[in-house]
Amino acid sequence: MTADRHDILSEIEQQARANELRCHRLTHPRNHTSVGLLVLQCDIDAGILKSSLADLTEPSPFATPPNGKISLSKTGSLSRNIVELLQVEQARVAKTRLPCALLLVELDDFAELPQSDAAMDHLLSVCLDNLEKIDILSVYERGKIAIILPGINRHLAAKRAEAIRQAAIDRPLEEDGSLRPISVSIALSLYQASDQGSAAALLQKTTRHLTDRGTDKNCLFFIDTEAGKEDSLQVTVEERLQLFSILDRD
Amino acid sequence: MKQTKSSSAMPPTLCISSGKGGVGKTTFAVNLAAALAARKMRVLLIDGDLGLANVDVVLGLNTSRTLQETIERGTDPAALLVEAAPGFTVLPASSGVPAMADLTAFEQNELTSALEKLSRRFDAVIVDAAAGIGQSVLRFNEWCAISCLIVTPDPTSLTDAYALIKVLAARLPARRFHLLINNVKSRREGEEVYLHLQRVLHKFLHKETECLGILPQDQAAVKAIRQRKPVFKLAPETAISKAFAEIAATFMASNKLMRQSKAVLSR
Repeated sequence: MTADRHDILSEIEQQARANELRCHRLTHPRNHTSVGLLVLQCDIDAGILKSSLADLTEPSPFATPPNGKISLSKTGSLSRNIVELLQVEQARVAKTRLPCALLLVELDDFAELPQSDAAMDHLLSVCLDNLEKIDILSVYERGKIAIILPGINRHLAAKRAEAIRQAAIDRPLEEDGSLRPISVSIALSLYQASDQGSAAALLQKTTRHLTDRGTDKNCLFFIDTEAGKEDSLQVTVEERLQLFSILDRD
Repeated sequence: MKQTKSSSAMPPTLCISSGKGGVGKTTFAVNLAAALAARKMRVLLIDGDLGLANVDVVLGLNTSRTLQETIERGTDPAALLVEAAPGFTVLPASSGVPAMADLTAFEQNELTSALEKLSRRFDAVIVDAAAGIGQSVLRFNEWCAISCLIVTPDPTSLTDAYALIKVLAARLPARRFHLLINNVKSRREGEEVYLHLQRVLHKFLHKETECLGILPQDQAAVKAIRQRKPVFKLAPETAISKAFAEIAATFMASNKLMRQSKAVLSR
């Protein structure tokens, strides 16, 4: 905290105390510097409020993107808990009956890349360029990115996955002034209202396809839904027959 | 434009759709709006057929600014309003713009947010949706509190209306759909079509509906379209105009009842 802000806080504190208001200095939990002043006009346990504020002032370990190179304005901060995000999306699918897709994108030969952080930056950049504003992205594991595509069917999700796969090939990784060709493997799962599995199970199932590919590269896997086919609202033959039965009366 | 309203509550919003094209959505939307305006209501008619609009055509309006401006430049839709008659305001859309017929989910949300603010200045809002089951049709139905589907006795119209209800019911499970039976030879035929469709909806989808009204075949309506005027204004004494007046009265009464019950509940 700067000296100016410290002086302002002291002045407010003096004025508050002169008016017989309760004041509490709020300090950062690690370095114990003053981060604010709490002036209470009612009898609240200041300890609770202080600990709440400490949570807010504690910097998130993922607040800064790797190397600070990638703007994540589309998706918010990195490494959000993908299972929680999926649970929220599953609830939305149940409510609206619009399916969502989960893409797991893995950089092939990630372990062999000398500059892994730069490679992840590059992969993020490739993925972000192929996302829409409503899509949700999170770093999943080293070398893997999870993407949730809300309100999308299998056909469109496959098109998006293919676009990411192709973009990775088209954009080699810059490494010490030279360009290194890269590729990604993608597993795609669709989740629809008739599916019952948990978020963790969906993630596990999708991850397994990437793990099982062994040394294969540049792959795109489509994973069947639990029901084996997409929810259909197609008008059935029986429904049509019933609808048209009124015409037979004429 | 003088529409100012002290209350900021959302007025009744009615989405008119059909599945099949050419069954009389725009004719109904225009005439219902005219009938409500004749009852001193401030009505906003939104042309929800965003890529192939024709509310302006049916009303004989010359519009140069459309909702395309809101999507592309973020223009406040209030700046695009056109007054068709006292108390009857139209929000025009574009014609022959494929991009407008295929808005992304994000654009649709932006649009409905902008419309929500505008709608509060009116007593009733009607959306004349596009034919089919495109995203805009689904989104407008979600946005509106009341969904009205136009059906004619044709098998294609019956199938398409049924299919649309099936899709909408999956997204809006609590919604009670209103049916308007159009282009029937007699009231009896209209009632039969309604009851038959209701039976099928009940059997397969477990959905109950309400009959908003029955509109007879009427040459006056055809003539009015050619003259680009609402038949309700052009030939108020015809059977179809009287049916529009009756539907407007029912609509007003049911919404007044809805408002009263909400007021009682909030006490």
